[in-house]
Amino acid sequence: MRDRAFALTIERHSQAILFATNAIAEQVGLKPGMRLADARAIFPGLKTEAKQTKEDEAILEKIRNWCSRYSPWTSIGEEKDDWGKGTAEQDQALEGPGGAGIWLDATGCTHLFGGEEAMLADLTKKTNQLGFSSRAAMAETKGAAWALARYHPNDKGNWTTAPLGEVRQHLIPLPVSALRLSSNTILKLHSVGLRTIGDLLLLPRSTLAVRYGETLLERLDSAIGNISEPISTQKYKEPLYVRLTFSEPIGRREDIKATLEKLLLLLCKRMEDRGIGTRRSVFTLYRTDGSIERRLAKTAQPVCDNVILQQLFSELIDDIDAGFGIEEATLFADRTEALSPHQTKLIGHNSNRDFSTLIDQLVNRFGPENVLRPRLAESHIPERAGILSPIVGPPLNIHIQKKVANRPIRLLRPPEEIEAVTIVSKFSFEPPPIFRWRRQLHKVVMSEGPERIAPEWWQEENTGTRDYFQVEDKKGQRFWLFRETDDEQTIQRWYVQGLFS
Amino acid sequence: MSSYAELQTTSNFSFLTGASHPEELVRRASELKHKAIAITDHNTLAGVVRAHLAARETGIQLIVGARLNFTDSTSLLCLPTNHQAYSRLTRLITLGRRRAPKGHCYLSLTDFLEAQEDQIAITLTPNEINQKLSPTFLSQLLEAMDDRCYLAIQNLLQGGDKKRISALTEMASKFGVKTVVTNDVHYHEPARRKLQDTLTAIRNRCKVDNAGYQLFTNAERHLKSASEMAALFPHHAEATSRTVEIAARCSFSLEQLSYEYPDDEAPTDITPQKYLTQLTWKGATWRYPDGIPNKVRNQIVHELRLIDELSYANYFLTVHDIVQYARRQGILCQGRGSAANSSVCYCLGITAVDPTHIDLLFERFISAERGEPPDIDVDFEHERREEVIQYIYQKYGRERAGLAATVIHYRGRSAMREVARAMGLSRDVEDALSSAAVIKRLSKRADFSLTEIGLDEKDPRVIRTLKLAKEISGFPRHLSQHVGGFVITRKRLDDLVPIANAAMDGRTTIEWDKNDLDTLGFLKIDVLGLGMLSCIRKAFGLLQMHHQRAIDLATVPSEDPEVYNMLSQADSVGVFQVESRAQMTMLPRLKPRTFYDLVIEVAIVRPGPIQGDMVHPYLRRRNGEEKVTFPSDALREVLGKTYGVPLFQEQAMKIAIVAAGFTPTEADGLRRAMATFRRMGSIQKYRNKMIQGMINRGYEKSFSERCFKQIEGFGDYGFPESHAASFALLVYVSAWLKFHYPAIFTCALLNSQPMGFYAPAQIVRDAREHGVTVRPPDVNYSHWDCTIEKTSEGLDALRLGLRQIKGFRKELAKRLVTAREHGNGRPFFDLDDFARRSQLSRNALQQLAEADTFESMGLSRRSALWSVQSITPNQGPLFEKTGAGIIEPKITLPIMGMGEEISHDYRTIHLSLKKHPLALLRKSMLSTHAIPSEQLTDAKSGTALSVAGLIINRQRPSTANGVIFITLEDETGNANIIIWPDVFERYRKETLNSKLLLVRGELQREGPVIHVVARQLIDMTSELYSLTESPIGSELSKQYPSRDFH
Repeated sequence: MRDRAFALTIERHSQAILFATNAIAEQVGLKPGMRLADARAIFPGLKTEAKQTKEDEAILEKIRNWCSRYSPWTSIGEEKDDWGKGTAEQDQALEGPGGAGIWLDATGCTHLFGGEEAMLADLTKKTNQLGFSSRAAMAETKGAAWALARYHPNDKGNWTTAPLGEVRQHLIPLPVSALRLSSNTILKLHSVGLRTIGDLLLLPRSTLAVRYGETLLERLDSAIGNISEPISTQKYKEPLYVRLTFSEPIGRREDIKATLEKLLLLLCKRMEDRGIGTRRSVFTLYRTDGSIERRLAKTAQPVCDNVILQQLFSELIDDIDAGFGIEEATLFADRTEALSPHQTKLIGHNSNRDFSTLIDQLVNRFGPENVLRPRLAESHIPERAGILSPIVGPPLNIHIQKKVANRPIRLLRPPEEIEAVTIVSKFSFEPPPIFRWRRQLHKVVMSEGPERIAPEWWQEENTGTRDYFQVEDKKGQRFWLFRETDDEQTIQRWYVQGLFS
Repeated sequence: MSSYAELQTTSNFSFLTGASHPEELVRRASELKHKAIAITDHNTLAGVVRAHLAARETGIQLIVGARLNFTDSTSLLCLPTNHQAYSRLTRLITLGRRRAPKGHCYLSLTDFLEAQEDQIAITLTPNEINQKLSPTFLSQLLEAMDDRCYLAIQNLLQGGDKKRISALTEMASKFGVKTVVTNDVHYHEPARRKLQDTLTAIRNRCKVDNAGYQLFTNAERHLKSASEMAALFPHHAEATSRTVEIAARCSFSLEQLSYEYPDDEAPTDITPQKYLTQLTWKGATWRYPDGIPNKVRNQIVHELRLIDELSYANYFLTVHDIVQYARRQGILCQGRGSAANSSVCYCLGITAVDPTHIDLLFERFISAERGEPPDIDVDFEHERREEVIQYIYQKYGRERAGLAATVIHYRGRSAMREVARAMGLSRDVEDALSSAAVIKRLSKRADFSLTEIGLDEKDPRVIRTLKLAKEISGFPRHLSQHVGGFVITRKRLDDLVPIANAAMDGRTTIEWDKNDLDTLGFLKIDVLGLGMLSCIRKAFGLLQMHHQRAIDLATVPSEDPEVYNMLSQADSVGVFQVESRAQMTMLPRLKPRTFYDLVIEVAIVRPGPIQGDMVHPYLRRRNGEEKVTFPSDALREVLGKTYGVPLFQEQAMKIAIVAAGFTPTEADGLRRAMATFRRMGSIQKYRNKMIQGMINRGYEKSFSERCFKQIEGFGDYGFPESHAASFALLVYVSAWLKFHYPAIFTCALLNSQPMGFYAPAQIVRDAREHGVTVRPPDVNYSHWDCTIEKTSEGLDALRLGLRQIKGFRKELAKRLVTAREHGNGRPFFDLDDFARRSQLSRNALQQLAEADTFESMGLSRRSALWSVQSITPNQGPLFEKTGAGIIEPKITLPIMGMGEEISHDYRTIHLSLKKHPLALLRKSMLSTHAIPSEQLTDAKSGTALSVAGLIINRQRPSTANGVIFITLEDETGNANIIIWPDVFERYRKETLNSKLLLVRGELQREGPVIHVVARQLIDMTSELYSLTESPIGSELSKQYPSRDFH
């Protein structure tokens, strides 16, 4: 994608609109907000893909996970509140640089990296290595961090910090768009000549409130620091969060195990100090290519015993693939409770296993994609009418209208060719009077048919046209036979595909 | 040998269901030697006229019928046996369609039973294999219809057929109803199965892959020969041959329909012809108050005699009545079309073109030979056409008048798009395939490869898509309403054709389109809307109000040399038809001096003459640079008025007759083939016949080919002399208004927007260049419409109306004006006063402030905005007295620079009266060496130079081989830019995406016409944005309007 013009598109008012463009597309004059048709007129070779909100969310989620090496408290920044109210072009023009963002509450974490600046430098450097351009800022308020990350002049590179007490001074020269305002408000402000946050700070608050609503003042205050806006709803506690970095990436299973052991020791030590145990622990491994591997150990009761935890995890880490190597590992006690005096046995007998728990267990053991059930697929071709699909997922649609003729109870897969003699003609609507299947000779006494099933022409691999017959032999055995002919109607073969009860 | 007639066919007029044209079904049935074929589309007769035409050609019997799908029971085939039964069917469908929204038809079995007389009903079994036919349904039908009721049996090889057929046969014999064989035909040949599956997927809005059981199991629903059918029903020979018996019982043919003109107009004691004669002579004394000239008198007598011979009196009277209605309502109208420019129509007030001025031969347009109704289109003011339409509905009733349908066909783009979707191609590939360029290249260039646009040509899905899209092209997709073609009948229209609701409220349409009506010889009156008529009527009104001058289309002083001088200088912004850039380059070459010159001017800049390469020969001959010769004496008569060069559609047709030996009917067939050739493609036959015919008669091959090319060019935009004459009158009248009353003309033009070639910015600018004072919209002076005020010298000045403000609504403007008038003329003295009296919402106030309309109160745009933003909506006087929340600290806002003012002007009223943006930018653009466009007139041809300006329109005429024309506007005038395709390819982005463009190129001069041929284009749009001095300048100033590619 990097070497040719590329854009993501969204649908708006049943028109395709560019949502985001890469650098090459921008060079040829394409901008987010353009109609796709116009963009193609300008640059016919444009490659596009529809914006996949779910996939984008998944990618953001990935990055967020990746960021958890810097702080256990991360969240995905909400998209602009009023996306969709204005035109895409307007939104884009007013939204300022960069769309998505990730919040990190770095309180109590920066010392792990050697200070705020070192942490930001490391963060932007590493995201860049992953192939994303990023800008980062750290400030004492959420609003200021948002504004600075997007609008600060690039004097230090891609990141900046506003030291305590200097936020106001950093914000004054920034445009009003840096306040997370609706495009409508931004337009109104510009129309009366108010361009920067500094311009706003000069005016009496009452004049602003009456014109632009409380939101403007809230955003202003949230940036300057008059109100606090927590990133996560959890009250602040020193996180039960431990981490290890490796000078050389590790990869062997023993090393991973040893790492886990070390981290568990550290964590349990800290939990013991506070008299709490973990009910959910997250072990995260960071590969050099930016991907992560995460394992969760859940317990019904709080645990603070590194041996038990190690045992719990050991099953889970067996299959970890280190890829190009693991450079970092963290362990986070993500849900904790005060330790109860008794420890209970973790692994016991499940007495009442009903079917659904069996399924749950199977799914847990083999993975959701490996436990299958048959489903009806709407296809006229019998062997395509049933498929196996993962058992988890949307419920079975059992109310499919029965639009097909009778089907046998048992289907042979694949159909078995039989020896039969008949005339070759499109107009012959009779089954063979006698046929040999699995060395047995069957004499047909009754028949119904044909049911002619034409090939699914849109498929790459195809059948010929088939004429199906239900036949009954002298012994009362009933078969589902078909004759397959090629397009020229010259060759025909007979098969048995099913047996009726 | 068995015989068979297919009685159940679904054509592609059962939209997205049938996969063959009705014509294809009929032709195939004829090839298969069927005794007859019934077209039974679902609740519609939309395809039967086409089938009828094909049946007439092939000689097979067509049974007109319909499959009726009921809301409360299973479907049946309804085949009328005679004319009365047919009318019952059309009324039945009308009933079902009129009670349903567009595209649907709600009928119950009871409705059918009331219309069952003389119908044959063939009961269909439910589609689903396991559903059974309801016995009550069958007994109800039997009771009413007795031996006219049948039960259909089908062997579609779906499995279980034997069982089902025997069960049905058993049921039939139990009830005493006869069975009849049908094949539920959905296409004429098995190869169409793929297309039928695709249509099914499109109908269900899914991919073919996911259509599942919606698709038919096999390809059996095609027309089969009698022996094939017999093989399918070895034990039901009598049910097979019964199809032929049924066919024999159906004696109705569309030939039996006879159209009759409405006869409402003539009083009972007098024949229509006599009445028409009376009205005509009365009109003649009105048109010629100083006495009817002898020439006219003879002409009228002659025309009336012809009308009498052909019994067209009622037709003329009907048009006359509609025109009279418009006249009574003060709606301006003007007739055009073959019969419209006759002396009779002039006397009846149908046209305002005095036929003595143009000397058109009546017979040329109304001929006994063609046996076709005369054709009169009437244009009405576009804003008031609906009144006329409703008058017609009201006068004749819904059952006697209906709009013709227009069949919307799948064309390249829509075909490609929907097929691609059904094939499951990604949006990206779909877009690429359906881009106009690709479709054009696919159809024109055999060697065009999809790899050029980055697609994999070998991808089987892409290959299938291309193939199917080609097949589906020309398929009807849905019915829409004709722009204004009315069918009015003497008796009930719904006895002839089903009538349905249109998508628009208050409109009803018939199921047949223009070609169908032609086939059956039905009269159509086109009631069309024309923006320029609205403009002219408004200008006449203003003229009456401000200058006490009462004139109408016919009394505008004719042949004013100053008007022709103006037009000859291409000074024609706003003038009807001749304001386009192509016309503007033609005007100084043609230098019109007389009305007939305008007729030619209108007709010459059209695809026909251009494709036929007739323009330059005409101009050379007219300017005396080439000898006027005629290819033959016979053609001297045809081409005399146009110096031997065919320009009009009539001339081209006449050439086919005189020079290529066509009969008039053949010539007419040729014309029609041209209009519809894309659908059917029978053009080659005519081409050979015409060119060979001309060569045989001694004409040069190249001339013959040019003549044919010209006819091809007429195909889509046929432009006959009679239409040109009517349009020329509007050209003259609008030019006359523009010359003599520029302020009034501009005012009327702005009040009739949107219409025409130019945006208000250019119209206003042109007016100011002609010395008109234009004043900005202001809450103390403006109305909704633009108005005429007086300058201190007593000249007309133009006050822009509130309608110019983007997004401002008419009701709000009315409320504002009422508030102003209620104050006894007391102006609004400040914003609070204004807000209180007008009671407008904060949003509306904001719009007014943004548009800088408070100037008369001494409020700048920015201070008005600041104040408005704090106003609480609907603040009552109570608050004013208490002063709650009103006193605010005084603050100083930054002053708005001129650049930003202009940007805001463009953003809010699409133009600026303050300054042209280029005037401000000129200094900062010095380094570009762009010269003001006014200096172009002094430059020599071939000079290399640069110009810069706002793009005000872009055009890529289909006749110009990919050349793009751009008009730039700067503070001194316009510059016309020509961009050749190779330059365009290099500068696509700049061409298509700039608002402000710098062009480097060469000056090209052709007589008085100046172009700049571009070599390099530079996008300067960011300069424009910088005017606002705002970081979101691009947002604040994106409203620089350009009219593109229309």
